[in-house]
Amino acid sequence: MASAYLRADDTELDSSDDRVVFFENKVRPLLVKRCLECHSSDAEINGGLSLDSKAGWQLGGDSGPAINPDDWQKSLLWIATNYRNPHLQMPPDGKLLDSEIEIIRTWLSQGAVDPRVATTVKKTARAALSVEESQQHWAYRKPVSNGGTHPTHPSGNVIDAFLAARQVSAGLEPADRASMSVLRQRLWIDLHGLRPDVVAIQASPDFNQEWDEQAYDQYVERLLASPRFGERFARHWMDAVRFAESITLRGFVLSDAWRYRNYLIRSFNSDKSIAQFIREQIAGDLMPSDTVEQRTDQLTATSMLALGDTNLEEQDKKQLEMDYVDEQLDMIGKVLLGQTIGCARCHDHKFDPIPTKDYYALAGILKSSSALDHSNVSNWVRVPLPLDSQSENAFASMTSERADLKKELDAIKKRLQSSASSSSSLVVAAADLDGIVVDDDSAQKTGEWQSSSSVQVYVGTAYLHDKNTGKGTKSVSFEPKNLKPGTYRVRLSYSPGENRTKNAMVRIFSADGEDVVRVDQTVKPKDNGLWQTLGSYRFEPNGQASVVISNQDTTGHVVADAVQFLPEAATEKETLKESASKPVSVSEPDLESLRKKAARMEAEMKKLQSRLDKRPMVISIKALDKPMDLAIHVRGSVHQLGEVVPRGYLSCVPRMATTLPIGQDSNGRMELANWIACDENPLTARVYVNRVWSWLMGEGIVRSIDNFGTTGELPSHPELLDFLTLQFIQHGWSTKWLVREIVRSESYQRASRCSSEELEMDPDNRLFARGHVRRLDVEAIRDSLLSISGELDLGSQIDSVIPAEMKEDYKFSHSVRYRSLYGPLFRNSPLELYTEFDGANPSFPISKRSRSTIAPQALALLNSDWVAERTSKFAALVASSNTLSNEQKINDCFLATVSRPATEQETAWAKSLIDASTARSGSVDSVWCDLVRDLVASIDFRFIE
Amino acid sequence: MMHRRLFLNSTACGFGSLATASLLSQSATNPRVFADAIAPSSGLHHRAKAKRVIFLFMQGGVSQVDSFDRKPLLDQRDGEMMEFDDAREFANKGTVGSKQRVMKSPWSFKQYGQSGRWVSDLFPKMAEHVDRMALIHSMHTEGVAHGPATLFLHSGSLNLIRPSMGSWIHYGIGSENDNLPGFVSIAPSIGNGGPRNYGSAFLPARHQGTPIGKAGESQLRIDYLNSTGDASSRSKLDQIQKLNRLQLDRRATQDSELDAVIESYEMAWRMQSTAPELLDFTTETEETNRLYGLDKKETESYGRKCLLARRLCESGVRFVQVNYGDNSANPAWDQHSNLPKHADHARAVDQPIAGLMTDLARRGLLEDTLVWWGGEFGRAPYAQQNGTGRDHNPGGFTVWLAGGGVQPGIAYGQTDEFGHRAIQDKVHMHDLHATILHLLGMDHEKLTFKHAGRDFRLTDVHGRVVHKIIT
Repeated sequence: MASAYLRADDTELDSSDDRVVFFENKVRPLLVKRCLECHSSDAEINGGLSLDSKAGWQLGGDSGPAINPDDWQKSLLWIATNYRNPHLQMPPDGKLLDSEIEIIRTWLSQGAVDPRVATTVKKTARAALSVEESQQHWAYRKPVSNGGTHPTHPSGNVIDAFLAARQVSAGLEPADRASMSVLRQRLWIDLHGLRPDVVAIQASPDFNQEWDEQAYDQYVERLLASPRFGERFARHWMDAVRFAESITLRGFVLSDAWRYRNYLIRSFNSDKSIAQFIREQIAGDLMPSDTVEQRTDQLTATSMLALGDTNLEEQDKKQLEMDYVDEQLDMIGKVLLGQTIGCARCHDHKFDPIPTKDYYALAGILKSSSALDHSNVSNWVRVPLPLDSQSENAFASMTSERADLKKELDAIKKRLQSSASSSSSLVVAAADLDGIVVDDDSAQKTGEWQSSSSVQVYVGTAYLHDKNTGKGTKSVSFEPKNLKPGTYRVRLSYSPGENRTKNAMVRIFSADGEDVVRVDQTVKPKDNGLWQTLGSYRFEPNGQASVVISNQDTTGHVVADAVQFLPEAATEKETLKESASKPVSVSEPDLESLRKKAARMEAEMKKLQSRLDKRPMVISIKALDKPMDLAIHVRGSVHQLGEVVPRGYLSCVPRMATTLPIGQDSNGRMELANWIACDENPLTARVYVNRVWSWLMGEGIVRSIDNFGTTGELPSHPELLDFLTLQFIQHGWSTKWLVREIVRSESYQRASRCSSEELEMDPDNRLFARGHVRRLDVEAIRDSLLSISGELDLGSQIDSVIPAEMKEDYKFSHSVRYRSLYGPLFRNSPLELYTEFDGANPSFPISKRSRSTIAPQALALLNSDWVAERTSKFAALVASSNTLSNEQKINDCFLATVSRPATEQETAWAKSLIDASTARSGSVDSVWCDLVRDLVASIDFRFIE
Repeated sequence: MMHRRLFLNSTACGFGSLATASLLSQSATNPRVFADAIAPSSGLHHRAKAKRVIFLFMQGGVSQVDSFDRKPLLDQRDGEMMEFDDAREFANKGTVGSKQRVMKSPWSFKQYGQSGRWVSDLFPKMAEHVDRMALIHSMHTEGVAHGPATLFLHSGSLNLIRPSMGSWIHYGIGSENDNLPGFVSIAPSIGNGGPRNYGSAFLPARHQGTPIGKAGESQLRIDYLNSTGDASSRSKLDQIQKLNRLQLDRRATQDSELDAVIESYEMAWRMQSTAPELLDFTTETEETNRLYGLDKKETESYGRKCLLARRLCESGVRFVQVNYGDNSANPAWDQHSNLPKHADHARAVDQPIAGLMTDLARRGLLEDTLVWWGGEFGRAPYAQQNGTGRDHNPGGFTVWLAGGGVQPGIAYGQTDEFGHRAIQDKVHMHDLHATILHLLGMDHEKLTFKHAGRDFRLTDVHGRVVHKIIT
C-alpha cells in the first residue's frame, strides 16, 4: 500500500494549510449536506460505508475503500458522484451540482486531506449461525439408527409403532381403518392420480367388502406395476423442478422438454435408484455410459437444470448468467437438500449457516457450464442425443450428401446468374450486387405467388406477384443467411407498373423489433430504378433478421422480387454496379433445363434438411473448457466483485469420507452430484423420504418440505424419519419400496373421520392419528373427467404433443386427450382449469401446491365448455341405454364420478331431479346432463375421505 | 393477520353521492360481509389517503421528451452528433459514451392550467387536467428490454418470479366488495411476462389478478362468467347445494374446507349476479359515452376500458389496471423507428383518459382514487441508429399520479438538459411502489410475506416514500 494511504491522520497538519482550509470550508459542508444522512456512524452506514471520518472512507464499505489517494480518478467516490456507471450513482436521488463535483475533484486531486478523526468505525454486524453451532441443528446431523432397534406395534408395521408413541401420550385414539371402497379411491389417487374407473370397481367386488390384507397388498402391487404409477410420481417431480415446455417471455416453445418428462416417467416406473436419478439430473452429461439408452437418459436428465423460466432478452448478460445460476441453485437447494441457499446471494444467510462464500462456491460449479448462447435474445443449449450406430451412420451420410448437393447447386446457380447478367434483358444477377441479396427464389412463400419476368428491371431470373387475389393471406419472407451483426441499409426491389399496389406492406424484423413500411409499387424505385430503401436496421448474431412483404390491406398487384442488406459502411459509395443498366444478350435455350435441374436439386436438399432436422436433440447444459471459481458478488451485484472463492460445497454439512475435493481443471458438477446423492449426506435422502411421505400422507414429517434449515419446521417424528431414511438407503434408494412401506401401514389406511374433541386435540393432524382428506388436484380432475367421458387416451408411449413448427405458446388451444401431464405445459397457455384449481406455478419449484377453495372454481365447474363437453358425452352414453332402469342409471353416474353407489338419500335427490325434468319437458334425456354435471360439481367428486 | 376484508359502507365513507347503489347494495345484504366490516379508512399501517388505484399502463414506453418533459435544448441542438451514455450499450458491453444524433420532438409544447405545465400536442385533452396531476419527471427503473422492465414495473423484480403489485395490495388490504375480484387487469397483453404481470407468485392464489378481456380483443369478459344469474340458474345451483349438503352430512365430521365448497358456490352466484350488470354499459348516458370517446372509432376501444375502470372502482375493486398495449414483442408505444407513430397511440388514449379524469372528479371518486399513468420506461432523446425513432430509456422518464393523497398541479424531479437521465430528486420504480403503498395506508417495509425461509416485500430491500408529492 502506498504511503499516502497509510498516513494515519491529517490532524497533524497545520490548520492554516490551504488543503485543510479547503476541506473545512468546502468539503465538510458538502459531505454533511449530501452524504452523511446515509453514510455516517451516527445515522445509517449504508453499504457499510461511513464518510464521517478519514478512517471511515479508508476502511470503506462492501465495495472497498471509497477513495484511492494514489489514483484519485479510480476512487469509488469519484465514479459514484460522476454518475457514469448506472450501477453506482451517488447521491441516489440526484446528481450533485457541477460546482459540487468540482469541490470533490479539487479535494481528491490534492490528496484527499481529511483532518476528521473517527469516534467509532464499525461495520454492519453479521448474524449467521457458526459452523460449530450448525452441526447441532438436527438436519445436518446424520440419521440415527438406534442400533437397528425400533418399537413394535400389533400391526407388525414399524411406521405404526413409531407413530403410536406420541398418539398414546397425547391421549389420541387412532381412527379405525377406512372402508375398502375409500381405500381403493385413495390408492388410485395417490399412486395413479386418477379416480378408479368403473371397470376396476366392478371387476373386484370382493374389494368392496371386508378388510382383506392379502387382497389389499395384491392391489397395491398391481397399481405399482402399472405405467400410470410413473406418470403420477413424475408429475410430483415436475412440480418440484418447475417443469414447463415454454418460456413466459416471448412464449418460446421448448420443443425438446418432453424428453425430460418421459425420462422421469421411465425412471419412476423402473424404480431407478433415487441416488442415481439425482446424479443424472445434476451431471448426467459428465457420467460414463455403456449403452445408447443409458447415454440418452443421462443427457436428458440434465434438462432439469435448463428448464427455468428465464428472461432470455435480459440485456445485461452478466446479470442474466448469475440470475440463471441463482435459479438453478435455488431449485437444487430446495428440491434436493431442503435448503434456502438463495438467501446467501447478497449476504450471509441471516438464520442458516450458509455464508455468502458457500453460495459462490456452489455458483462457481454451475457457472462452469454454459446453458445459454448469448444474443439480443439468448438461446438455450440443445445437444444431439446418441443413436444406434446404424442411425448415426445414416445421419452422417445425409450430412455429407447435403454438402455435396450444395456444392453442385451453388455452381449451377453461379452459371445461371452469370448467363443472366450477360443477357440482354434488364435483369440483375444477385451475385453482382453488393451486400447480401436475397432473391425471390430463396424466399419463404406463404400463399400462392406467381412467378413472372414480364416487367423489367428485376433481380435474378424472375420476380413474384400475388395475382391481385387472396388479399391478406399471402406473404413472402426474405431471410438473409449468415448476416454479420451490424447496421444495414435494407432495400427492396420490385418491378413497377400501373397495375401495382400503392401500399405494399413491408415488415422489417431487426434487433430493434418490427418496423412497417408501405411501398408504392406504381412508381419506379428511387435508387437506379432498381432499389427502394426501406431504412437502416441493426441486426445481431442469431437475432431476428427478415423482411416480409405481404398483400394485407392492398389493392393492385403486390410484387416481391428481392431484398438487399447493404452494410451501412458501404452505402456511401455508389452501390449498384453498371451491369444493372447495361443491356446484354438473350438467354441460351439450355438455360431452361439448367434452371429445372437447379429447382429439382433444391427440392431434394430441402427434403434432406428436413430429415436431418429430425435428429433427436435435448435441452442440456455444456461443461466449459475452462472451469471457473467465482468472486463473491457484493450485495448480489454482478458489477461489484469481492474475494474469489474456490468451488466447493455447503460447509454446514459435516465433511464426508466420500467427498472429493474439486480439482482446478475439473468442472465440479460431477463432484457436486456425488456429494448430494451419497448415503452419507444427512440431507438428501431425508428430504426425499419426507417428500414421498407428504405425497401419500398429506403432510411431511417435516412440514416445510423444502426447508430443513433453522427457519423450517422440526420433524414431528424424527426417529421415524431417520429410520425410514436409513432403510430407504439400505433398499437402494428405491421409491417403490418406500411407497409400499407407507401404504401398507395402518396409519395410511385410517379413516378421516374424527370427533370434534379429537379435532380440537390435534387440529393439524400432526400425529397422523386419522387419514387426511385428499383433494383431487387439477390433473386428477381433468384426467378423471376425460376418463368418464371415454376420451382418455392412455397411449403406450407418448412423445411430444406440441404441433411441429410451433414457436410461440400464446393462445394455444389444447385439444389433446392424453393425461394432463403430457400437456403441452405452456407457461402462457395453461390447460383448462389449471389456473382455477391450484395447478403448480411452472416457474417455481413447488413442494406443496396451494389448496384454495374459491368461487372461480365453482364458476369453472358450472360454466366451462370443456367440462360441459366431458359430462355431456358421458350423460349421452347413460341416456342412450334402453335396458337399464333409471335407478341403475343413477347408480352408474355415481360410480363413475364419486366411485361408489348412490346412497338412499342421493337416489331420492336424483329421482326428484328426473321427475321435475319429466314434468317440464316430458322427456328425461336432457336431465342426465344436469345430473352428471351436478355430481362433478359435488363435494365427493373432488374430496376423498 | 395481514389480510382484511374491508366493507365500504356508503354513509361511512362518503360514497352516498355515488351511483353505485345497486352493486353495493348486494354486498350490503350479505350478512357475512357486514360481520367482517372494519373501519374503512384506517389503512393497514397508517391512515390511508387513497382507497384504490387505477393504473393506466402505456405499454412499450412513451417518450417523455415528446410528451410531458419539455427540453428546448433538443430544438437548438437538433441533428448534432453528441456523446450519450446509452443504457443498452452499457447493459450489453459495459461501456458508455457513444455518439448519437440529437433529435428534437416533432410536436410542439404549450402551457396548460393554473400551474402552467408544458404538455406537447400529443395529449391536448389530458393536458387540461395538469392541475390535478403530480408529474414525476425523474423516474428511473431497471431493465433495458421490455420483458424485464415490464416485469420490474409490475413486480419489482427483473428476472425472478415475484407477486405483482396488485396482488401485494390485495394481500395487504383486501377488497371492498365480496362479490367481485379485488384486483383486475383490463385487456392485459400476453407478451412481456403476460400472466406474471398480474400473478400472485408465492402469495396465496386468491390474490392473483383477474383479467377482463384480452389485448387485441374487443370483448370485455371474465373467464367462465357466462351465465346471467337468472332464476333458472339459481334453481340449478340449489340442486347442487342440496347434493353437497347430503354429502357433507354423510361425512359426519367437521371440515371447514368442505363448508367452504358450499360457500364458494354462493359466492359464484353473487359474482354471476353482479358482474353482468357491471359489464353492461347501457345505463351510461350518451354524454358519458362521448366523454370517454365511445362515439369515435379511434378512441372507442380504450374508452370502454377506462369506463369499465370507473365502474369497477365504484364497485369497490382495489386495483384496476387499464392496459394500452398489444401482444407483440415490440408493443404499442415502442417506436424504435417512425416516432410520429406516437400520435396514433396518443389519439387512442388522450380523450378516454381525459374523460376518465373528468368523470372521476365529478363523481367525487378522485378524492380517494389514485390514478397512475405511465409505461415501463421512457425513450432516448436521440435518434436510434441515426434513424427516425428512439430507443428505450430506463434512466429517465415521466409518469404522473393524480387523485387520492397526491399534490395536485406539481412537477417533481428533473432529467438532465436533454431529458435523458434523471438527475434531480430521482424516483426509482421501487420508490414509486413504496409511495403508492404508502398512500394506500401501507408501509412497504412492513408489508411482507414469508416464503422459502425469508420475508419478501414488493420493494425487496429498496424503496423510499416520496413524501414531497403527498398532500
